[in-house]
This record gives sequence, structure tokens and C-alpha cells, in this order.
Amino acid sequence: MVENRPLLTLFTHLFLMVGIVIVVFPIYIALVASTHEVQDILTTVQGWFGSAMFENYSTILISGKESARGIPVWMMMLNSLIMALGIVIGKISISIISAYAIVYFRFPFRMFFFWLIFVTLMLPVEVRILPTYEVVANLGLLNSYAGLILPLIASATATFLFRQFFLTIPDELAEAARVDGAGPFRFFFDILLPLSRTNIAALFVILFIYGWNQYLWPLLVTTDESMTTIVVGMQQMLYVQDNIPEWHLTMATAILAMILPLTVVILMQRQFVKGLVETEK
Amino acid sequence: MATVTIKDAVKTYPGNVQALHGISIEIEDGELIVMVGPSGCGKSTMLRMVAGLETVTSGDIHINGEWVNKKEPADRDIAMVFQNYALYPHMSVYQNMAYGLKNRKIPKDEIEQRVQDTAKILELEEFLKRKPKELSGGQRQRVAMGRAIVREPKVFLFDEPLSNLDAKLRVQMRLEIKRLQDRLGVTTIYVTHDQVEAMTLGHRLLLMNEGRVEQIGTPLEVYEKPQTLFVAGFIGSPSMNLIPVRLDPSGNQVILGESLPLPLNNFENIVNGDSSVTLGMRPEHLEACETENALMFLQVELLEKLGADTVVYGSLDQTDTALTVRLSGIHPVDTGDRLPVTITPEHLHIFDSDTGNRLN
Ligand SMILES: Nc1ncnc2c1ncn2[C@@H]1O[C@H](COP(=O)(O)OP(=O)(O)O)[C@@H](O)[C@H]1O
Ligand SMILES: [Mg+2]
Repeated sequence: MVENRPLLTLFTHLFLMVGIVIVVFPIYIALVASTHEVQDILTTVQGWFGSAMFENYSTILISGKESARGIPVWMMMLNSLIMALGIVIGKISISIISAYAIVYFRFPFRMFFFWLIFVTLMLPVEVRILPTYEVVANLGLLNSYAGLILPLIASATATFLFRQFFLTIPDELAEAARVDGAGPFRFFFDILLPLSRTNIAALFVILFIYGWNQYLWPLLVTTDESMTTIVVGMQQMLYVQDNIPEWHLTMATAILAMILPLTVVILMQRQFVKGLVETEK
Repeated sequence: MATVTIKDAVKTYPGNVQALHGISIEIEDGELIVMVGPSGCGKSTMLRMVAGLETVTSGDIHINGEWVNKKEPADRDIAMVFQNYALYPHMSVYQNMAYGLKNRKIPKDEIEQRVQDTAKILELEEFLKRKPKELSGGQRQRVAMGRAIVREPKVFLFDEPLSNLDAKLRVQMRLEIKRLQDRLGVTTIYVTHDQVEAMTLGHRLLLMNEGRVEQIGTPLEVYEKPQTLFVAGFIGSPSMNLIPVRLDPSGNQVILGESLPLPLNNFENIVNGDSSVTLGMRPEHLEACETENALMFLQVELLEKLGADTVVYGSLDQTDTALTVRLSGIHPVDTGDRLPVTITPEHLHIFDSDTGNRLN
């Protein structure tokens, strides 16, 4: 759209700025609060940075917050990172392989399996959480990374996205590869995988954030504090009995919880956008 | 170098769509066969069966004497050029050409040598590092051909390789393909719906219609003696005038419409039960003449003055039978004129109106 209407431009920019302020303001408040001593922020909301930044962050990173059972935040972040990466890598590998099977191979009940996968879209973790818990508990996977990751891996969404992408690849490409002597494995690794690069990148970003932000499932399957993820850990910091809420530390944790997903988005931004808009084959 | 033999090839797609009803042809070593016919007649299906991309419902396909019905495409030693080129978009031109060789475990320096040689033949040397999307349509087409040539296969298969190019480039590439095939001498099956392409390229043509062979022959045979009504109408541009007529029992005239006699002879040997036949006359074989020599008169309705030719559209005098005449050069004729035309008897084609078979 090439339009040159100054008033419209002004309006859209104003609109965007208001949007940004609304989104950024709470983050700013959290960032500011994380740099103050506890007594400074108990009663008022601070508008400008304080002097306790280094102290606050090193406290929670290294020794943790006592009311939250004293688990250092770096450990929570590591747990979250392992869980998120596990979910991302697992989901992408499984769904790209299932999509490959569904699109490129003729086997009995192919469409049945496709619809079966598709129907699981209607069963997110929350819906099937009790039976899943039962299964994971019976397998002895409570308080383990496998227990955190495996139930979240099966993904109809990603399978569906890859399927749609594969369907846009002309049949002749697969046929040319067949004539060129590429078997199913070679075709997958030499042609399909490189062509899916941008789609994989886009899914990586979306799924990383999805995995990182998991709350309910980690809350259920991890009782051992060394397995706490940062999202769960943060929540535990909020409710303290018979004590003053240490907002400065909670806010610092919140800021730290944002850093990794933010880094992923920034690093993969270009690939991400390309993956979402690209149609060029 | 190889022969290709197709015997009674039948293809039935799922859902009982019968695409081919028994195609047979023997292709000689080094021959360029063009399969030509209207869209949907089963050309691609036939080609893909030779390639091994489509299963053979019944019939036999031999390449160089070897029965290949059940062989994988890669094991048939064929190379195929697709209509949309099907280049690997993420690979450079070099990698595109080398991919088939790499999969065949050919040593790296030999691959290098063969790709360079092929690139030289096709004038692609300066593009070897580029990706397909950085090439023009004609260049992509050449890469697709390069990918086939570099393999040094027994048989080339082309499926409408020029139909994505503009008219000028199409003519140019057509010549290039012909030259290449002459030079390499590789047995080739070329599929197209374009009769001009077919006539200029093929050593022999296989004309197909609705999954059946209509005629197999050299371009000139097909032009001069079309064996069926379909071939008569398909080959030639503008296409042949096909007029339903009755044979007069005397054998020296045909009767057009109710009672317009055309005093044509040469039909003594033609026997046809109900004597209703179709008369074929190519527009370029009809000539303008003096009124007293005229066989028929054309009421001129429309003119196309092309410089080299003048194409006259009209209807036969006193009938509404449409007739097209192509006069060479620039001809002083105008719409509304009554143009006397004639034709020499050897240029007449007679077909059985019911079966479509040639009678003379
Ligand atoms: N995969 C398929 N499944 C069912 N019918 C098909 C399939 N491919 C082609 N056909 C049918 O077979 C006929 C011949 O197709 P095709 O060989 O592509 O024709 P052409 O190449 O001469 O245009 C057409 O009627 C087409 O609809
Ligand atoms: Mg076709």
C-alpha cells in the first residue's frame, strides 16, 4: 500500500506509540522496582531506577530467594531452558517427520492417521492433564526432564503447518529427485529439510516461547525444588506467609524470565518473519 | 544409446479413469519421437510410465531390450525435463546438475568435469554459482536440460519443456533442442500439445487423442496423408477444412449440402456403405483462379493479411459451409467478394464420417 496522507501517517504512528506505551509500561515498572531496596517499594511505585540493582540480581541469581525455598534463579532458568529446547526440538522433529509421511507416502489408513493427529488439536495439555499425569507417574518420570518434556511434544499444529508447506512444494521436485536417484532419506535431508529452513525457524521461535511459558504442567510434575522452572518459581515467590513480599526480588526474577525468550526473538527475528510471509519457492 | 519399445500400454488411474487405451510404438536408437495431442489426451501419462513415475496398468515397456515395468526411475537410466523445470531451489546451478551424479557415487573430479563440459555446451558456465531464482526463464530451461544431459542417460524424456517460455524464446530453444539431440544422438521422447513444435522437432510423430494412437509417422507423412479425421484437423494451421459431403455413385463428383455438386474425380476406388463422407482440403492447397476454372465460390467474410499470406475466411456460395483459404502473398481480395477457388485432386482427403478413417 503506497499512500501519502500525512494525517493518516500521524494517526497510525500515534496509535502505535500508545500501543507501545501500554505494553512497555509494566515492564518498565518491573525493571525499576528490581533496582530498589525492599522498603522503598513496599508502599509506593517508584518512577526511576534505584541503586540496588547489582545486589538484587546477584542475590536471586546465586542464592535465590529464601521464601521461595532458596533455589537460585540460574537453576530455574537452566531448567526452563532445557524444557523449552526439549519441547522445541522434539516437536519440530516429530512433526516434520509425520508431515513427511502423510504427504509423501501412501500407506493404509493415511487419511485416518492425519485426522487422528488433527483431532488432537482439540486436546491441549490442560484437557488431558489428569490421565497424562497418571501415565507419567506410572512411568516414574515425575521430577525428571523427560517427564516435563515428553507429554508436551506431540503437536498437531506443527504437523499441520509442515503438511501445508509440503503440499505447496511441486510434485515434480520429488519426481526429479527420484529420477536423480535420491531415495526417501536423501530427498528428506537434501531437499525437504533445506527448503523448510525458514518454517523451522518460525516454529522454533513460537514453540520456544510456548515451552518457556509452560506453567500448569511443570507445576504438577515437579515437586523437587531443583527441578523448578522459572515461571513456576516466580509464582511461588508471590505468596509468602507471615512475611513481607519481597517485590524487588520478584521483579528481578520476572525481568530475568523475559531475557531468554527475548533473545531468541531478537536473534531469529529475520528468519521468523521470512518464515511467516515467504511464498517464494 | 537405446531403443524404447512400448507395447499395448494401458493406464487406469484410481477411480477407474482410463487415461491410456493401449499405446504401442517402437522407437529406434537415436530417434526423436514427439508425442503430440490436445491437453488431457494422456501424453504426460505415457511419458511418466516410461520414466517409471507412474505404474503400468498393463502392457510392456522395454528400454534397450530390457523389461523395465517394475524398475525404479533411477534404475532405468533415463533423464527427464519437466514442464516447470523442477530445479532444486536451494541448490546452485552446479549442485542442481551434480546432484544426480553424486547420488550415483561418481567420483568428485569426474562430476566436476562432466558438469563443466555440459555447462559449456549449454553456455551456462557463468551461471554455475547462481541459484535458480536468479536466472531468467530461458536460462532455467537450459539448466533443466543440463541436469538431464550431464547424466548421459540412455533416453531423454521431455514433458512440454518449452511451454513456460515466451514465443520468441520458444522458437530459439526449439532449435537448440534439435541441434543438441542431433549432436548427442540420444533417443528422445518429447511431449507437446503444440503441433508446430511437433512438426519441426520430431523425426516421427505419435499423434494421440483420448488415450489412443491416431497415427505414427514422419511430419510429412502426417501432413500429407493424415490417417484419421482427428489428425487431419490437428496438424496444420489454419486447420484443414472438413466438410461433410455425399459421394455421387458415379464416382466423379461429391455433393455438398442438399444439392451443390463439386465435380471432383479421383474417387473411383472409394467404396463407402452409406456414401456419407467428409472431404478435407487444406487452406493452403485451395487456390484462387479464373471464374471459368472455379470448382467453387467463396463468399468472403473475413480477411487476415499477414504479409506472407492472406487468410480468407468465408462460406461456400449459397451454403453456410465455412471455408478457409490461405493464399500466398498479398492478394487483392476484399470482404463481400465472391472468390473463385480451385484445388488439385491429389490434395483432397476423404474420410469416413462415422469411423473417422481415411478412405483415399
Ligand atoms: N493422478 C491422476 N489421477 C487421475 N486421473 C489422472 C491423473 N493424472 C492424469 N489423469 C487423467 O488422465 C488423463 C490424461 O492426463 P495427462 O497424461 O496429464 O494428459 P496430457 O499430458 O496429454 O495433457 C486426463 O484425463 C487426466 O485427467
Ligand atoms: Mg501433460
